[in-house]
Amino acid sequence: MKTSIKNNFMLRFLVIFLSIPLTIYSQDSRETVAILDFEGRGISQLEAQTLTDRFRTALASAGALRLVERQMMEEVLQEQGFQQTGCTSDECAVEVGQLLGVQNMIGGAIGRVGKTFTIDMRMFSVQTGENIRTKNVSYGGAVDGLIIEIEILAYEISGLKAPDPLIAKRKAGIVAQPIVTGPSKTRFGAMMRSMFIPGMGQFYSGRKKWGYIWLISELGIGGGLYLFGSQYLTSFDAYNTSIDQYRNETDVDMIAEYKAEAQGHHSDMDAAATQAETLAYAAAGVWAANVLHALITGPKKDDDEDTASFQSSPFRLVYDPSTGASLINFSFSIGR
Amino acid sequence: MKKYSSILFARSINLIKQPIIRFSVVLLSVFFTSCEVPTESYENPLDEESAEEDGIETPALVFFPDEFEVTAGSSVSVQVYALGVSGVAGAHIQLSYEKSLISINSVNVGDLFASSSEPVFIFEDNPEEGKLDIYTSFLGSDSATISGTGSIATLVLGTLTSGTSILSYTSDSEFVDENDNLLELNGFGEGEIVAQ
Repeated sequence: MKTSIKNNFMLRFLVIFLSIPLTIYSQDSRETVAILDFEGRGISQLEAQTLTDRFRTALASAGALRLVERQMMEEVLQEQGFQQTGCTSDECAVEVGQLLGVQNMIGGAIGRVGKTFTIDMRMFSVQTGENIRTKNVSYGGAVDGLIIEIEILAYEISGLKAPDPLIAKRKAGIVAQPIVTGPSKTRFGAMMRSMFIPGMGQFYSGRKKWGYIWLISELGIGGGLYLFGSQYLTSFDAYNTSIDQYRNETDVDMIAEYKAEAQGHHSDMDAAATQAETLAYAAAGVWAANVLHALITGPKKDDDEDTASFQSSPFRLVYDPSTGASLINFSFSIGR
Repeated sequence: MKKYSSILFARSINLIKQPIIRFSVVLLSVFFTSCEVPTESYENPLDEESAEEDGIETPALVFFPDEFEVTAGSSVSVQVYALGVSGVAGAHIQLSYEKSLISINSVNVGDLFASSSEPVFIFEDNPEEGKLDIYTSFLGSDSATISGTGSIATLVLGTLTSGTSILSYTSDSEFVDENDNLLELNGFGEGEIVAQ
């Protein structure tokens, strides 16, 4: 008895739970639409179907129209003895729409003339046969680039504005090919860079941490060298001034004073020179180690060097469909 | 020459006010010219310590300056100095010079005796022998004496032709006290005039 009550409760729960989306679906006020496979003219039927599928997905994402699923559509058409691929005329499309019970139908063709692709698309009323919205686009570039155009058309035929990222994608170019990327990175290149500026070879090799370590070390030592070097030069100057005064002085007391001054400056100069010399050796040592490190470690190897090279190159050759011009695109990351 | 270029370089660097340029110049100079420390050299003939290192013990007679480099035909002013003397009332100083290279143009009383009272100051030049005698003393019975280091006479010498001339004191030079007793004179400095 208890089991039966429990089962009953579960059944009610399931019914209520499942009925929520159905209720929402039944209350949907959006217009229904079915999409016929685009006709391919100059491109293969397979490519046309693929682009239709992408269009269908994009239209569903746009969300302005209620779309009949392809599978459901094919089942209905099959039952009625229709072949979707052969349905290209307006009459056929209207008939299919009536069979599916949708308000609107979308059909179109994708053609190619030379290197230019054309997309003609229209949405028409099943009831009246009138065109509700028509769109056509010409595009020059690789066939892959049609995908972006198709996605944008999905929004536009729905009466919506295509999202900015999609427009940006179109502007940035669909087919990006790396152009002159220069010779590939080498150990020698890293070494040469580190010879000029400590750490530069490591930066070049993609070892930023080491690059900073060498650069900061050398700068630190350079700072110390500057301080002691300055102190040496100042003392050197002061020593010579005192010596000149000492040599030209005839007053015994002043002679002793200038001599003491000169001795003090000489002592300072000697100390500063010793420190500067030590630091100069340290700087030379760090520099040599940095060069050796750059040579030994060399540039980092990625799993897919071509991909890495492609991704790391800031220059891309892109095609802008809106202007029909080829452009050189420069971009770099400003952080993640 | 190297020394003067180093001094000029050091002074030029101190004139650079732009920090980055100064930093770069100092670093480069330290890298490419090692920090040379000059050997300590204190050469003033009036410095008693320095004179001792040169083997001249006080009381002594020295020249100041003791080195000249001049062009031939020009004249130089050199002072005859008493170094570290005590209780001197009079002096006879005899110095010799290269007669073929040097001429005595003038001899004037120095400030050592002149500072105390009016001294007797007589000189006698003997160019044939290349010798100059100077006599100086205090007059009267006030027993004035001088002590310390000071100039006895100032000479103006003319260089006749190019060459190196040595000025030196002879052993006839002497100091006396107020009772005309000889005072010990331990050192005699030399002077060098290079005329080019």
